[in-house]
Amino acid sequence: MNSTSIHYFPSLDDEVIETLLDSWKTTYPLMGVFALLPEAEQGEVEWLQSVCARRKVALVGAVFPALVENGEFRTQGLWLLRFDSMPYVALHENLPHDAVGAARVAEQIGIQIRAQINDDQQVTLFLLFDALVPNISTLLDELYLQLANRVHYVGANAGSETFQPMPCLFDNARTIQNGVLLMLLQPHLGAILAHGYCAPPKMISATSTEGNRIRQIDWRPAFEVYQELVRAQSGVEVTRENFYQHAVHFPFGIIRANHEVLVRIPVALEEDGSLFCVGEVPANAVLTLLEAPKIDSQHTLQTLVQGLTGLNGELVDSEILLFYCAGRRLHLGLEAASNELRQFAKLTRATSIAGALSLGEIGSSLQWGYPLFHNAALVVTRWDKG
Amino acid sequence: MEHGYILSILYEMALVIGGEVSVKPLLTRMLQRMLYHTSFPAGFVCLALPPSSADSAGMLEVRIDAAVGDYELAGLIGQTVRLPAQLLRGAAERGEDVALLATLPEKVNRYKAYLRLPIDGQGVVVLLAPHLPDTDLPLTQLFQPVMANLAKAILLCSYHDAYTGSLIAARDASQLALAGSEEKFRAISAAALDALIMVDNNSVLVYWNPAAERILGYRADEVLGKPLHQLLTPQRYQSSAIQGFNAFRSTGQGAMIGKTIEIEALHKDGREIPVELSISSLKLNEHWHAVGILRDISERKEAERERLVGQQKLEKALMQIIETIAATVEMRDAYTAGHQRRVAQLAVAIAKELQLSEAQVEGIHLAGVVHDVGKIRVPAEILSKPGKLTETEFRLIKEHSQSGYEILKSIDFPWPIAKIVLQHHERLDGSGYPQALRSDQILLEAKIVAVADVVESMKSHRPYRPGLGLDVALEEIAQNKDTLFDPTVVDACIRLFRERGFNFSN
Repeated sequence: MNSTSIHYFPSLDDEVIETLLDSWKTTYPLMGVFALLPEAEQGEVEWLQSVCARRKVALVGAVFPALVENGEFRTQGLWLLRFDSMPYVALHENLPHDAVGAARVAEQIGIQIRAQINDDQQVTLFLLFDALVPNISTLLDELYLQLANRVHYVGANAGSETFQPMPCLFDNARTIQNGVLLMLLQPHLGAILAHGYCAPPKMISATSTEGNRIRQIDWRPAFEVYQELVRAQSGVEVTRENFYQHAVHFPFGIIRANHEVLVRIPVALEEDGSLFCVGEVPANAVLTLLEAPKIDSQHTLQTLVQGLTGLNGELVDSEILLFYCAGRRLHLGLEAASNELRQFAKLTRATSIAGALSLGEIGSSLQWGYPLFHNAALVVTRWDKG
Repeated sequence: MEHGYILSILYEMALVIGGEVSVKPLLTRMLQRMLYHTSFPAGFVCLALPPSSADSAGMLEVRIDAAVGDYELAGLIGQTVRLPAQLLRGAAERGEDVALLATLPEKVNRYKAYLRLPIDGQGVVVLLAPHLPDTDLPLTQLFQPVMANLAKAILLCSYHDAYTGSLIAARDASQLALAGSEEKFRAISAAALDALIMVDNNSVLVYWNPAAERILGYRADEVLGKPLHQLLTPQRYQSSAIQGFNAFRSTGQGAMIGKTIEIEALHKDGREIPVELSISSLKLNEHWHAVGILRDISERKEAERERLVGQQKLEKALMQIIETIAATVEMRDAYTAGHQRRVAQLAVAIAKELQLSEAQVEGIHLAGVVHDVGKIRVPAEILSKPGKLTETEFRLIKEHSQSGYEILKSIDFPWPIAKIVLQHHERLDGSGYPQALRSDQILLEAKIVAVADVVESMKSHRPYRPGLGLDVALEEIAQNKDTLFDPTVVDACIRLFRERGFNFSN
């Protein structure tokens, strides 16, 4: 990407936006744009589509709980990120929630992506899911079977922070939900993901799960065990009424052998005591309750910066795309979260950092690693340089 | 890491292994979970390691049975490749060896770390990573019980695959045979000149071959799924057809099943066309279906009609000729003028009374009209001689049966006209002429003409006597019933006059 390829608009003004699009188009006639909108501006998607249609600019985008701009979270405005040349993009809606259907969709996507890949280049498959798709991990597993390490996997979840259904993914003509927006960036070296959540030693097992729904923990109703664990560890009495308020501070962690933790923040509680997470929990996964987890912000930010530098070199004057988990912000609090953003900007000395508050993040802590679906994480990637 | 965590990994792996019934998904799923737990990004499985030694370069030729996480490796699944024996053989091992991994196939040779897990005599799992992933789990020991279970699961899944494969092969062979059979049927059906139509138990059309389209005008897509009777059955047949079908629906039986009939069918353009229809029943999916083979007989019907018209013309001409001959005879014998016509009239009435076939009735009519044609050879003065005939004259008169036979025998009538004429003076007791035939030797038609001849003759005037009247005539035949005249013929004749009010018309 060329410098100054990203632009934040605090307000949505036809003339200002069209002027920029025209200016970009003069230099990059094959350009397209990737738009990030906060959910408060969700109603403006149609307007944005009409603006891009008038200027004959290819458009894809997503709606998130908030935007990230200059170390701040913004509930208004618009980010436009320019593709110098519009890459392969695809909107898939009505994703199946069963294993067979997921395998079928992944196979279709695999075929489409393989047809677009240039053999000589490193490629990043950017995936933006509707946060309410319940089987994102399964879809990632199936995609990994199809494309393996041929692409880097990066992504985030769009949607409303209230977890109410909302059409949140769009292109020039369509606005969809229960789907995924794919963008094939090439050449591109991938992204870095980190969260810094530390795992305590206490383990429990999710003994009955169904996609992103935990029915039982240690062979007992999930919520009952969850209440006991939170009460025992922190003295907090979690009820149906205050569930979400506390749940962000008591997420589950799925522990992996390399000490890595996959965070799962419970976001909803069912009548039967099942807990809903954003992101699947494998059956019989070993869970830990991350009691008011301490987050090593410094280490997280260093991991991100070092990772990005390792991938792309010096970050000074770069343009970076960042996704910051909404659950992380809730847990840390607005000030601490904003501080993380400012620290990141300071460490990178990037020209501009465009981003959004996300409802789940996709990536791997390892280069060429197995793509995993995370909560509570930050994902960062260079926009100006593949 | 606490033991609980290790046990949980083993528990989950055991569930994964136990959850698959086929080798390929078993290996793929197991590899996926191993990569997940170990943070190695790629791995492959070789199930059959050759017992032979490695070649001079330390390589073995092995087949890749599963691969996850590496695009190039995944492309080698099912292929035999050369891999370093040192990587494949040996106990479970985790380590870094850049030189060893550089001998992997091109584009797969960039890894630096590996985890080898032998599968208890069933091959090996090899996980690969650019760097050795950090872990404090004893991975080489941890997966030993999993590998033992995996070996057994591979064996069981192989048996299952072989069994399923044989079932699939049998199914495919069966489907192939079925497809071949269907193809033949389609070819035959398409090539058939007759319409082949099938309806289900609701009389809805479910099959319609190209000939049906040609004969009845509808394309298959216009009629399939639609009720047969509304489309093809003329209004006048509809209620009986529907009624008949209602009975057929539950039994597969019906008045028309198994029969071939000639009927009319409605063409798409509204015309009625004559068809020959053969209907049979068959049961499909527990429901009776009717299969109709329908042949357009328009041309045949037209030919038949033309033939009939021609035949009728011929018959008419023949009748005219015969009547002309008869008239010629009668012109020579004023007293018997109209006799043959009246005999024919009475003989026909008797034949109908005896419920003879139309063909027989027609033959009797013709024979009646000409039964005295032989009199043409009898001198006219004898025929019209008043008073008693001499023996010679009577002998000449009696020759008229034989003469009539001689005149008529060369004409190829569809009826035995010549014989009837020959025998019309024969009597049951053998007293008749010219051959003195007895009862069972005389044609029924001749017996009928004989009775009609006697009754008409006696009733009418003759040159040698006045008419004796009907009663005398009937009395005559009644008295000689069984001796001279056939009793059923006599009874029928008397019944005609006494009960049916028969009269000779002019």
